Amino acid sequence: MTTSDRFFSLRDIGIFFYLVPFRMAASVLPIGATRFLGLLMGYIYSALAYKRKRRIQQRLRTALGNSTTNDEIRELSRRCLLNAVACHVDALILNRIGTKELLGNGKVSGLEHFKNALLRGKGVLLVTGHFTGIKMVSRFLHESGYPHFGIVKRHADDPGASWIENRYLSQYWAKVIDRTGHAPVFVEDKDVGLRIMKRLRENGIVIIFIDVPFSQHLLTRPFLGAEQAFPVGFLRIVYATGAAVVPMVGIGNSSAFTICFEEAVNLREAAGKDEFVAKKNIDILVKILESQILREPSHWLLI
Amino acid sequence: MSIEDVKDRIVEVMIRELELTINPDDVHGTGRLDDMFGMDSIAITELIIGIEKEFNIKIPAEDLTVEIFQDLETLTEYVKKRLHDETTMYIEGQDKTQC
Repeated sequence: MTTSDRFFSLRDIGIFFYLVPFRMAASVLPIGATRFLGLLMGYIYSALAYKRKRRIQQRLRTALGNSTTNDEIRELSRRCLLNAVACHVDALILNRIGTKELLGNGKVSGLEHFKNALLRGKGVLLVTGHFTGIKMVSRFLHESGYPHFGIVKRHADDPGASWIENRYLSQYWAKVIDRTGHAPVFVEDKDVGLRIMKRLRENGIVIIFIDVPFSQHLLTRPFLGAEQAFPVGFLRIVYATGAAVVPMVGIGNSSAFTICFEEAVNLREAAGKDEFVAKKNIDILVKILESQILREPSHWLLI
Repeated sequence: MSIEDVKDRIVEVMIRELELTINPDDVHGTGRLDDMFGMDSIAITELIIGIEKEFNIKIPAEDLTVEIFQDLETLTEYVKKRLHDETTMYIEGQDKTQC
């Protein structure tokens, strides 16, 4: 976990409000009322978080280049914040929505790619980034009878967070929000490799988020106009097990979402595992992630 | 195959698959596998595949547990048992075919 110079920040109040009174209200209020309150919160956050918005605009400018106008960048940054808040509000009501209603609100494309990859019988790694609809993906897979888990970090690693957020709020957040429903597997756990292997051996599914450098094995690659470290440990597992790698993106929330499975990636063969990882294979996946983000930049939560 | 032979071959697999630059005698039976020579959780998966190839066995999903992959001793005992079980299954299959 990182430490911050700041003991406390205004963001801590917002997070506390979300985690305690708003979460309690969301458990008793009608779902529509919670969504409406969430929308209001989104507009308030969008108006107040000008520093965050400025950072997003800089990132978008670097990623999109000069072909995008300033007005478009401003609008995109506003939508980024609104979508992020909507995503967090949705996490509070998701378990109250019935399967039939929820799946009726979504569109799933490319399911044949996913099913074809499963037919190979060596398990599937769904490779994606932190998009707004990731909880919908998890719920969709669960309700459709596909055993899966995602690999996540136990602790938030936000250098901009205050000491209070890192020490208390992020852990409480993980406990009451992220760990409800379908329990993830933590990258810090010593048996993470065994659990991945076990799931793949059962021809199950493991979701890998490649937009955060959570692994001990990292490679820095060009990404959205800058340089970023990417986890590559999972490619060593692919090399060892022959599991299929299927890019996937899920965007939206429980009121309207889309999930898109892409064709399984034909990774380049190599004589050894190091070559397999380095021989453009991580570049192939980074390019796919880039194209997913550029299609829907306002739905990428880590912008 | 004796238990010592199994252990020696597992150590050979570790060194080969994980590209370790160590002397086989440095590998002690009761040290935790995930702490050994900087081995991480991903390396364990490579070790599993290496062992399967070396001994021509298949480790079923239900056996991929921390208890079995705890240290070299537990892993050796497991592989020895697995070799025995698979040989028994093969002989039983042959007997049924002959009947």
